[in-house]
Amino acid sequence: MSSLLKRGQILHGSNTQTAYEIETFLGAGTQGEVYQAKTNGQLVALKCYFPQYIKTDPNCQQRLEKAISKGNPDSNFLWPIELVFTDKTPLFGYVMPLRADHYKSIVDLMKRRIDPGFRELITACLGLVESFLHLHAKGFCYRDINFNNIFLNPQTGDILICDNDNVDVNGVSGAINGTPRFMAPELVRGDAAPCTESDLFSVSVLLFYMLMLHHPLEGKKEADIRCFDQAAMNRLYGNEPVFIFDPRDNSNYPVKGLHDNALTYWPLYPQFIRDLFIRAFTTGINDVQHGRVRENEWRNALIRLRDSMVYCACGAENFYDSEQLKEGQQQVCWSCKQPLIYPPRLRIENTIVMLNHDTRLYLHHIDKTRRFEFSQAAAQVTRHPQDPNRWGLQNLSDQSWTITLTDNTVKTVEPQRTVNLNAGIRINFGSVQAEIRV
Amino acid sequence: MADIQWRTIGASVKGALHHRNGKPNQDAWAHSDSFHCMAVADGHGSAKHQRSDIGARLAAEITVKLLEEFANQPFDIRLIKEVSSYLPGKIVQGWREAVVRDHQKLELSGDPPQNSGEASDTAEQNQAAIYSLYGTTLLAALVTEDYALYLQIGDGNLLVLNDAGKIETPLPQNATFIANETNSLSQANAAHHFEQKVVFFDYQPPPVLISLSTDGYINSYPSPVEFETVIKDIKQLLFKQGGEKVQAMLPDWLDETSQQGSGDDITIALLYCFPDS
Repeated sequence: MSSLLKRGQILHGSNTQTAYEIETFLGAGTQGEVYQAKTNGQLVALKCYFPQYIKTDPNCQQRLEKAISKGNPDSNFLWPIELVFTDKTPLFGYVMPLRADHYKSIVDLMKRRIDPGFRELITACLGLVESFLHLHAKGFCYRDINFNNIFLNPQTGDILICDNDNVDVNGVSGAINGTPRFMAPELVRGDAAPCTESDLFSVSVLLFYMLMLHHPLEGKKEADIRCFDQAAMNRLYGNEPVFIFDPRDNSNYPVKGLHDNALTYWPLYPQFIRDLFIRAFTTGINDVQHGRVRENEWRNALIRLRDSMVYCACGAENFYDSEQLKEGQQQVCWSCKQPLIYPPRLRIENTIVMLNHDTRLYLHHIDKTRRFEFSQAAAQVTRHPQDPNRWGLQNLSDQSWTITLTDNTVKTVEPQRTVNLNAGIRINFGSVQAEIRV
Repeated sequence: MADIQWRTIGASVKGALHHRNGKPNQDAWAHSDSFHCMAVADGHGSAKHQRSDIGARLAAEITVKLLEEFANQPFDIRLIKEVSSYLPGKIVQGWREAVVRDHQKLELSGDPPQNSGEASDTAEQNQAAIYSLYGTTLLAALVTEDYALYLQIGDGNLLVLNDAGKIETPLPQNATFIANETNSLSQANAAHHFEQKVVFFDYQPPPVLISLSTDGYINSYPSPVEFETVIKDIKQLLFKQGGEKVQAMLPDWLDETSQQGSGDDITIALLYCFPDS
């Protein structure tokens, strides 16, 4: 139910004097109401604040002006475009890009209203850490990272970050300190103001939520709380936070029947991902300055995780875990429980890319100078047109590759040509060397 | 707000079909005498859920108790939304513990469930089968001076009548289920399948009536519009005749509605407040 603005009402932009005409009411929160508005035939979202809210957050306008003048960290943010004011009332708000309907909330993921594959989920996690990296690089702190502010396209893993009006300069005290479940322990305890480090903790919580569909601190200690009150929240997230998979302290281990998602998903991921979460929620809890997992570490780990994906014959997505193999353990499919049969893999320097039927390599993989570039495929796994049992890696880049066969014969693979996926073939991509392993 | 008096009435009747085939009323409702909260539950019935009448009663009672404890906490108002997000988990946990206790009691008293035809291989499956015996939906509402809190898992109707006489449905209507399937307190990860909402009264007035009802009620009418009209009529009667009279008549109305309508058990619980009541 809308109460602030009416259909057809016009608000004017403070920078451009553009007229924004209110069309429909989209929703309300504790700060204000959001509407769909029209300007020059384009649709935008317009948030209008409740006057009572503004009294509790007097820096809101100044914060927004700062964000608008500094500009969007990247296109994943539905960033404020300009402030808007009503003509005869003291109401104000801002306009931002409209979120498309096919973007769904993380709450939809938790409720299984959407069911993206691991690839899309990891892509969404990657998008998130890269966006927060860009935000922090601009000197901002998000302050209120939680799953109500993040939306993803379940088909592609593309993400959008909303509610950017809480973003402020790093380390500044303000009205918004976050959502307790996602807040860093020092913020829950009231010991510090939001900053990049507290955002990093919230990012780790969010990633854990997305990959395990559970909160990293909600185990036995949470189950022992009969009725949740503020003191219980402070204890769980602030004063006595214990990671549910802390290898040195099992006092908060997940309870079967209550925390099944955590118990189900945790063992599916390779050890290197579990190690990173263990660090994020053990040393990362106690050592605010140096213990937290930084965006770049998450970025590298998530790319490695996506490159580790393999398909079982039953169709389920699994992850190649080299550490498990080193210990002589046979990996079995989480779904059908049969031993996993690995496809060929490409060792690129210190990393492994599993060469599935749908694997694509990007400039990130084959060009040292273009790390983290995933916009255009540089190679793809293809099947031989005449012999369905033969697979190859097709060169989609505009550079020739040099390959060395096992008998040391050297050949050139021109763009669009394909190299067979045979064990021992070494590929020189230019700045990067790789070897096919079977 | 302080002078607004909320009152609760409600009733639950065995469905006409259940009268004929000798089944118990598998619905239940409960409310609080100290706080303004209520809950309604609809046990799933059928052999697989043969103790769902008990499951529904436990669900309604436990939920009201937890809502009372919740309302009694001195929360910072800004944290209400956050803290209330734990309620589904606590309801599921409390309900499951009560279910296991009841199951053990019945086993000891030599009243095992009749074979539902589903063998269980593991302890985990055994546990899930026990919960399933008691499977139920749940609807609940709590009103305080500052906010209303709504919760739902599974089917049933949570309607809110505002002071302009308009019916609102604060929770999303789940249309993903077909052929009588519904979300249940007994399913895996049940807490994630709750819908919930907190509506603060800072920027909009409190409703005048909140209605929780099991699907036997709405299914007795050709369309939701007729059902909404009934809720509006009840509000008028409450306004004109007062809660006691309506409470006295409610079971007969529900009986008649079930006979002429769905044949299912029907339960309704109403929280209402009129400025001059």
